[in-house]
Amino acid sequence: MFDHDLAIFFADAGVDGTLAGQPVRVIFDAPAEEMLGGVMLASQPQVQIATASVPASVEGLPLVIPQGAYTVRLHVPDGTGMSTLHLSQA
Amino acid sequence: MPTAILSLTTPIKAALVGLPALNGGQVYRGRDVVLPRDAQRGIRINTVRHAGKTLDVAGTHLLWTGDLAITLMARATSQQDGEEAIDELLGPVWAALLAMPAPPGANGIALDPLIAIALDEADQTVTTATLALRITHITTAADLQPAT
Repeated sequence: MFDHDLAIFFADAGVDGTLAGQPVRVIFDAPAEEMLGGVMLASQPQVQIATASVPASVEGLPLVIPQGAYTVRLHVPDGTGMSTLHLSQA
Repeated sequence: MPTAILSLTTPIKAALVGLPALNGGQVYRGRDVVLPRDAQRGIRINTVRHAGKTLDVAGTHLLWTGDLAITLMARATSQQDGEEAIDELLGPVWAALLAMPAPPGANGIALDPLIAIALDEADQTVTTATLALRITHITTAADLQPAT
């Protein structure tokens, strides 16, 4: 795990929101992907967030950011102190 | 004149275009396109194969066993699971297929049906139900025109 301040990663591209009611700062992205073997196009909304800001059993909890209200579908920590939360529309 | 191969899917497309359950979605025949992000529902009709054999000694007619894939596509709302979402399209589509007249040269289009459902997760749950339909039909051997 990096031991420096992760806040620098969120300074410019980050947005403020709440995760299960607690304030967080995240970097939002929503790439489009072909699903089900190229049958349907769908967005894969996700945020980058400091792992320390992610509560236990985060799946199913609400994330509210300026881009919209979402539910956390999957938590993927990368082992360096950063995590990706995959989101569904709330 | 189109062959019986194409003539089979033409009335199927006609029966499904404008179906209220599509909520304005498109019906694609003979396309391999992705359902656009802003479309909630859609249908693809694709011919998979036709296996034929000679029907008479003179070889003037062929009996075909055709397989069609009708792929229904739906996005679930946040209040639905994927099976609920696709079911709202599956029922009306099935009813429309059974209600339509048999295409020329065929007895029916719903012999030995198979329904395969697939799910994936994104911002919404996306679901497909593929109706695999087996159609037996007869054509002339010379030019593949529908025959009875």
